Amino acid sequence: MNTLFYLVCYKPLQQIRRLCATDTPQHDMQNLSDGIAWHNETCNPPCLHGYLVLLVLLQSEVPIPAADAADLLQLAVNSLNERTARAVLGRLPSQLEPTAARRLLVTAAVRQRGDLARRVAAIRIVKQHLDAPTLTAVLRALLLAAESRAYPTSSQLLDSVSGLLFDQQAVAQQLEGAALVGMLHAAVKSRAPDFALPLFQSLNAQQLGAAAVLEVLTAAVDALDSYSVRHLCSLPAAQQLACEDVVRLLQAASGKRSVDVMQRLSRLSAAEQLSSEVMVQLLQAAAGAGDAPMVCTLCDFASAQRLTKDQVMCVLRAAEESGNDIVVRMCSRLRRN
Amino acid sequence: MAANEQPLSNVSESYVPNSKSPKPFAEASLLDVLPYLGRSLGLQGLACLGASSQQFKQACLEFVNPNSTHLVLDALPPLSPECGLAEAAAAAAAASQLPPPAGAAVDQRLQPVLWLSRVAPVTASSALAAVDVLQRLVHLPHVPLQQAQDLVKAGVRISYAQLLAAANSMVAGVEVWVLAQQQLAVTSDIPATAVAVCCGGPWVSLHSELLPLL
Repeated sequence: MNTLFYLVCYKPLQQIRRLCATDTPQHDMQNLSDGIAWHNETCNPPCLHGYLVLLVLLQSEVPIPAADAADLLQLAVNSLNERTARAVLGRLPSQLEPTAARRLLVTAAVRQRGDLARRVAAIRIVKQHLDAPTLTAVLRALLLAAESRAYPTSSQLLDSVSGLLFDQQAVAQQLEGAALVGMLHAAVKSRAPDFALPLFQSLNAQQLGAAAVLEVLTAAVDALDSYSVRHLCSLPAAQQLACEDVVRLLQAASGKRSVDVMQRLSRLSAAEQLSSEVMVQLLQAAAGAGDAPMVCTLCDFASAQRLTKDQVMCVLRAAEESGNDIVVRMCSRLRRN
Repeated sequence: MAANEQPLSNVSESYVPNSKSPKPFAEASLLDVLPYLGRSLGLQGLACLGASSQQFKQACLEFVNPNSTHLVLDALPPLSPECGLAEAAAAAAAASQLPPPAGAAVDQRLQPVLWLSRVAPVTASSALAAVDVLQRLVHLPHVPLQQAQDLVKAGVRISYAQLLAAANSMVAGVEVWVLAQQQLAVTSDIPATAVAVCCGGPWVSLHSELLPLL
């Protein structure tokens, strides 16, 4: 053996690290790993110094033996110890089986390490083998973790979800059917839905059925998530929603007194064909509550222009009972139309 | 069954005259039916019963001895069937949601097995050597280090293949078995590099003066 071997066993770590950082010839590096192997074999259990050297090596350019790489990586990423997981990640081999690559990515997500998952996914070899079911599993695990965590961590996890969706747009576009609807639901539930923008804009989302859109839209209205409502209303299927379904959505939005959501819903074609009876109900509720912005929004609906004289009188009466002058003035404008 | 009944009836006969309990009849008949009840009580039930009095402990052990592997196996949660990556991820994520048991608290899942290893070490070590039992043990998420050490002392030996299988199933905290085996200086077929990967954290934090070096 030689000087490098001596170094591994006795020299301070800083020196080894410096050595690994510089352009050490390959055969010297081979000696170094031989030294480590010997060191680990002779001391059982391997001593702390051996472990530290290993960590430095993992962060350096010395290749991990390809045969064990997948197993070691899986052990490290699955480990509850953050430091170990990170150290090994710096040294991913160029060759990895597709199954192992996918499992590694999902494991990082299940261990709730969003940034780690994102970095694993960005590695060329993993990226090549990433498919829609794997991405769904990863996103699900991260969203589940985000749901159960308190603010700073949950927001970090959501950031990594949006990062993953952005980095892997090509795969994200392939999400379809139940997986896509599930992700959209999660986006609504997370209260930070901007991460799902690539999903809303994907080709498969454009081809979603009216039933699926209604399902997510109802959840979005319940959550008062106007951002998601806007994107859902711009999907082609949203224009095919049945009139009674839209009435139910409008009533929900009116019950929650959300002007924002109401404005988004007013763009639906079914909302334009609203019967005047429903319109009167909505207007009466808003005027009775003295909710001026809501009355203003409702007055812009096409069917508000078609109210009969009696219907307008009902609305005016409700407005006067609320005692809000602005509301009364807005409602009186209805009559003139 | 006949072989089982003989010692049990002895126990109940010798027990009744000496008893100071207010309900000797009820206890005696419980001892008589124990061989038939044992399987449905499970190791958990037997452990509770056995911990209540000396006579019960002996009767329980007599039932446990020939059936220990089955009982230990039944006391541990079954492995989830082989499934795709997505399903495995969902199961592992759901398991991770459970709060990990506090360090000092005794893990309820392992209580019966630990009871057996205390009262009947020989029986326990033979039961804990069974491959099925080891597989179920290593698939338990978040086993506290103390309990892992107790089980390694009781005869648990986790092989590299079992460790990797659990890591591939994304079991949280599976490295605790490697750490326990290392701390008790148990030899195994786990390569040194894997041991270093599994044990790194606790070692480094034990030597906190070395942390800045990393």
